[in-house]
Amino acid sequence: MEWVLLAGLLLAPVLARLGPAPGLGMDRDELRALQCERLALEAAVREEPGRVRPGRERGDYMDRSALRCRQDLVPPGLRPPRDEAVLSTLGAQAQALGARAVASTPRAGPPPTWLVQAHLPDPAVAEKLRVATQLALVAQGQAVSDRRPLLSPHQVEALAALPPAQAWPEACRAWAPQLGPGEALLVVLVLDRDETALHAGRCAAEGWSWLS
Amino acid sequence: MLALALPLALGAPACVRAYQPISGLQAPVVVNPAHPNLDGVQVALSCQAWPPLGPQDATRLCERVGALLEVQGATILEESSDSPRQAGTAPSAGADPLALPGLSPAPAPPATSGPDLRLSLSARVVHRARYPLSWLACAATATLVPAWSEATFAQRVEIRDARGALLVDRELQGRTVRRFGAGAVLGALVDRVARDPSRQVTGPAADRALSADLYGQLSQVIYNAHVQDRARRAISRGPG
Repeated sequence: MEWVLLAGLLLAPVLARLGPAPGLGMDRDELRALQCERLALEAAVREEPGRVRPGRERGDYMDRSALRCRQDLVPPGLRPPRDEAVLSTLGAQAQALGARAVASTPRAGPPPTWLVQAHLPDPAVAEKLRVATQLALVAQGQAVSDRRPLLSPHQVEALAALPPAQAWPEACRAWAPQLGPGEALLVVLVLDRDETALHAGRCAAEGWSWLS
Repeated sequence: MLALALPLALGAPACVRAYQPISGLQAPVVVNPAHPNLDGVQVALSCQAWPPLGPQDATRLCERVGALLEVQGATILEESSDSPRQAGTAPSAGADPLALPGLSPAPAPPATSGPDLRLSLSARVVHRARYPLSWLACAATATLVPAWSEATFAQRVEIRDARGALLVDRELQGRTVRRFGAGAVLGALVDRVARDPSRQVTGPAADRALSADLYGQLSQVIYNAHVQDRARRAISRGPG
């Protein structure tokens, strides 16, 4: 009987998972696949109705809050780190890029129709980022076109020899004649193979401007 | 009686620490913190003391971060915390959760001009809980059921360029869970024996994971700021 009681006591903290906590219930890989945020009790009750008990009118006996976690769709480590850095925060990054593009629009005149290009080492990731940025722009009330201005192979070769600070304005000179009236091109790019931040530029008839 | 005797047989009840990254700390890192990513970059570093760690810990964090950046080729121009150190001074020895894993700083060249980047570190306690019921259960079972306490901390990283323009303002959040008692010690033993070292979450593994996450993120964030600063300078210089 004592052994049963002892086993029960020892297993209780393992079997009773007190939230997503590090211990025997969750190992390091499982913990790293969670994106969590600490919510104040009021916010937790408001945002997760029915799942978090509101505080008592006379107050609780302890300081309560909630830890809200969501699991990553793709487990960490399956994609290259830089792709992971872009894709794990795709929505937020696209939202921020769209907001920067909208803020860069001159106040005089009608809002432009946005063309979007993304230049990342992995074309598949670049395409995902391009589409996400287009959707973010639409969500912000902007007009978006799927058209893409192009560069000739000779232009690409010449631009590749220039430092980024010169290459992108030069590329804009080549793109600008291909833009229709009222169109602007939003270019999303990385400047260095080891950085995880994204940069953006706006190409329009009046020329190139950096948005970072 | 056996339930009472077992904790004594296992030794004195002890505290076991575990760490969980909450947000930002587990973000992917591309840069290698042991490579000269910041060659020739001059960084002004300041660490603000905060309630959970205190001024001495803030100074130690500044020393560690300074050493981390020196390994990557940066020159630390100044450090403002409660007791600043000279650039190039090796950090104090001793095991602690903020220890640099396997890195030793190169001697820093003397500073000659103003900083390229200004890095400011500050932190706060987001949440702290002690779970009194778990302590009651712990006492009632002669520490076989672990008592719990936890704290969620936020490390803020702010980086400005030489003119004071904000390049990076990020907050990294993590959580430490402390369990007390013979049950906690037994759990830590199982964690150590049954799990691969890369998947362990308690004791020294927790300290190593926290160090790797914090210094990895700092390396990446500072490198991103360096690239952005370099691009801004190139753009402001214009073509030619």
